[in-house]
Amino acid sequence: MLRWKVKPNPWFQELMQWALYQTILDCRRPRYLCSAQIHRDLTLSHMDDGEVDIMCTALLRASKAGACFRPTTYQFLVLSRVLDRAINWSNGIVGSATDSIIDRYFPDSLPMTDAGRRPVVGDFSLMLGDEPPLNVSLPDEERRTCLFVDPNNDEDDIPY
Amino acid sequence: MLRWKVAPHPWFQLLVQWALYTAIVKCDTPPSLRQRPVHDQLGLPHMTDGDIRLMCSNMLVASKSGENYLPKEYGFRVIRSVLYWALTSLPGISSQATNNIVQRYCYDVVEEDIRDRPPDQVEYVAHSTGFRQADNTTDPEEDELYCLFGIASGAVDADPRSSFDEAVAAHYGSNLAVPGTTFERITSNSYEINVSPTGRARSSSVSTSF
Repeated sequence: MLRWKVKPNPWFQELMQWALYQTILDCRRPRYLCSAQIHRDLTLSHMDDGEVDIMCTALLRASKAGACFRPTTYQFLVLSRVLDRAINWSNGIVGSATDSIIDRYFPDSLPMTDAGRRPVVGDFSLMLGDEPPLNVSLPDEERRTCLFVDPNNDEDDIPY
Repeated sequence: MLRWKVAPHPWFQLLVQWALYTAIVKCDTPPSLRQRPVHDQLGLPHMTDGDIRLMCSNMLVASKSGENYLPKEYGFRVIRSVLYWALTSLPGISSQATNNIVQRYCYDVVEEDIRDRPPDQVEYVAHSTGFRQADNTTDPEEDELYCLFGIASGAVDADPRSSFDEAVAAHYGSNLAVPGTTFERITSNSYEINVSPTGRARSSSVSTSF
């Protein structure tokens, strides 16, 4: 699995893996189908779709492994963009969902300035990491809080 | 590979496989994301998303096989829906693209026979056939331009129907003495799909992984 800030609950692993699958498939869309340039959708101007494909495939494989793999800061950046894109397609998910998930699962000091540089070779593979701390939150409650509750506006909460 | 009306050009095989992958991943959308059910989006009210996933997985595995596998009518109907769904939102693709492809590559489906019922167990699998596909006399690039973009060329005028059609019609009409094919695990370059024994298995029996 990927080394998140805390041990991931199944709903989050499922969501992240599905978002990676979707991105990889979009990157592999046949060229003659007027490719949408996924790296632009993800606002990753320093990568091309082939690189996004390679990085997401590495992340997906690592996320399915039994061992724990620590993404680089660039990979965390890509993960956040991939997640945001998947969430934006969904119905009934609050707009703050990506921020809530980043707050809960991503490293505290994620340098978003990485988007301003090209990934280096090391960003296309993953290194073994230590186990994340236990996640003390209840899965259902955590999912509800992340996906259906806007912390800035209670009125926008979506009935769960 | 899947058995089409004529031997498929690479561009078409790639398109079908990509569209099938896309449908499979859509069927796997986490419930949390509250997407509209895939069977609803595809206009297949008599199938569950699990049914669609199973049928698409079977056809994807068959399409990657070295042997010819002939989908049943329901299979062609699902392929048509999946193609339409994959193509309809893409810029620059002709609104007639799916019709063009169906006309060129798919066997006729008698809608009345399948419209108001779920697929039978045997319709979840394509059946191995020894029939050789009819040659495709079209130029691949012209075929692609015509099917996807509606750009016709004088060279793209081959009628893909062949005498094989009669054999296929007989095949469809029979009770299918050919036993269902059990697809074994097939590994492609970057994607693996495990398909359970034939039949209407639960969707959980099919797993995908890059």
